Amino acid sequence: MKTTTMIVSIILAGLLTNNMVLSKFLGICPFLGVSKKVNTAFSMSIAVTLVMIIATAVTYPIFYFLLRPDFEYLETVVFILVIAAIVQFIEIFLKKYIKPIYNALGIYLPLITTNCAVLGITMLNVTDFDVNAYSFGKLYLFSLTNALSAGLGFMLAMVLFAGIRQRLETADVPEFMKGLPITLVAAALCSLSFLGFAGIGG
Amino acid sequence: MSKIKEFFKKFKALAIVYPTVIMFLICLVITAALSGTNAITNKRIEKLNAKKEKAAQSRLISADEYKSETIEYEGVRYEYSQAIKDGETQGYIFKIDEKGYGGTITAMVAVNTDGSIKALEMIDVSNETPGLGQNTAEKGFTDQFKDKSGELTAVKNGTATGDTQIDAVASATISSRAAVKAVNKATTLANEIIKETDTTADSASADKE
Amino acid sequence: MKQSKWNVFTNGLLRENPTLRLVLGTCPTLAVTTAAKNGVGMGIAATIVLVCSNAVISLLRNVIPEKVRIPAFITIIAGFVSVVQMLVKAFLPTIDTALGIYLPLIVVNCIILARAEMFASKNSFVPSVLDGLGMGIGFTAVLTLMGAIREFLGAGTLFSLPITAKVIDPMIIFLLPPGGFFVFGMLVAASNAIAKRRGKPIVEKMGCENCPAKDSCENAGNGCDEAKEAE
Repeated sequence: MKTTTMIVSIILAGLLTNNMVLSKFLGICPFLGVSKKVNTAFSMSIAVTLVMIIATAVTYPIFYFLLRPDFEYLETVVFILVIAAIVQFIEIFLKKYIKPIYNALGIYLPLITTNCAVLGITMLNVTDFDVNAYSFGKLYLFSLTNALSAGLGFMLAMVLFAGIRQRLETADVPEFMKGLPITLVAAALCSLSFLGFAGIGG
Repeated sequence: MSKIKEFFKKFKALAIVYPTVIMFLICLVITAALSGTNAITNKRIEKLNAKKEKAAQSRLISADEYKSETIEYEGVRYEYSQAIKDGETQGYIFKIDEKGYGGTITAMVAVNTDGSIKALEMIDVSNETPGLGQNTAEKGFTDQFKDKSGELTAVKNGTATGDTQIDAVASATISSRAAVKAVNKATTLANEIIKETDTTADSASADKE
Repeated sequence: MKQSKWNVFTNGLLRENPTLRLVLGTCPTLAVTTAAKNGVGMGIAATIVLVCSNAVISLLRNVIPEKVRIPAFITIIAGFVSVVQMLVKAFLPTIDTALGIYLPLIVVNCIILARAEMFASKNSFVPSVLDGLGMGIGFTAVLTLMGAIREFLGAGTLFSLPITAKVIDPMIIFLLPPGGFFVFGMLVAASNAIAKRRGKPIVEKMGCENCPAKDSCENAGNGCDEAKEAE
């Protein structure tokens, strides 16, 4: 596939057809936990997108130049430690130098280390693109695009869902369905609507 | 152990050393354990994969030798193997990844030396929907490709007419389309290879003259 | 309050079932349960990691300094996950293809870090192992049940054996992502209904409040409190 068509298809997949949350089930915890208000959902997604891109920017070269092909079995350990370190570092950096951004996003950062969407995207970058088929430059470009579009897809799902949940708050639901169950059913409907995008950019 | 902790606490400058040393030791032990496990399992995993690939290859084209080759087409490198029997090329086997419904699907396509399809085997459809897209791996679907050539298209189940149409698996048009796309990619690559070998053969015979 | 060993073990099975009562580890619960067999595979893999990491962390609980607690736990957990991953790849390749990326993602399964943080780092070896085992079995049971429901409704089979497959057209939607959310919602609703009848509280908390990184989050400047308030 040509580079440009590849990039377009990566973006469409991340946003719509293979949405991180609604079709890959990654990052469900923040999706359910931090989606009661549109504002919070939006800030959280910005933080996740940022960490995803930086994590990809760091882990992909590590995988390509250091781990491949003999030490691939260290992937899980190395990636999670790198992500934990990056999150810590971003937090310290923002706290010290860019206070307004820290005030807006800082509270979500510690939650992101154990967010499976971030580790998930760094691992998907490794499995999604055939290392033998492309040069490193292209692979790096694809991976970064993949991280960006996955982050934006996460944001889309979060913000849409937060909108739905604000309405759900006032709805009259049976006692045993209150809270998590009705939220999950709403998520099911949300995910069902995303099924309609299947095939776009395929 | 607590004595050591006390010792480190006495020196404030060393307060950072204790956690660092512990973290380092944990990482060291984990890495050692992992490389140990890898040493045990690595050979087995490789053998398993090689066996799986070999079995698939020999199901597609029976030959004495499968020679690994690469071809570059539109800036992308593809690996393929050349099936050779009694010193003669029987055909080419391609392993093609294509975007399916839930993720990547992997097809193994055997192409005859005249560019027609010999056989198709879907070797990885684990990302597709069970009962729908995963049915693209079944014989009822893959057998349709036999002896077809040229650009193929997938059409709605039960409506295939003519030489270049393939019946999609019911309710799994996207997975089927991905499979067809993989096959088309394989035939395109095979035609490139055939063209190349023809020209080199021509120039070789021309040299002789 | 000291719990008896039996209580520690059964805690994870029902009262504090990690999936239905604590609502942890939702990602694999939703993702791999398209067949009962996958639920069992995922459950067992997670149980092994849970028991081993609980055991090691309880042994090292006095050695690991407070400052690097979370990174140390994550490293230990990641180590066990990689070992399990390699073993599954070598000896159960079909399970490996079925679980795919969700197998290494056990690292970030909140259940494991949560138990390390809430239980193993405060208790001795034997209770920690029992806790891991109980939680693991509880997790496996829910995953298997969910896999069975989705497989039965979505494909008409159970553990790949045809039940209604040839007679009734299966409802494929249950195998697709929306079915996952829906079946999980129904299971939580059922567990809530049972809990209510027995006079226990229904689950209200989800996501952030159960997050194992909550403590570190609070250290970092009352993060979760703000997130909670915002909610």
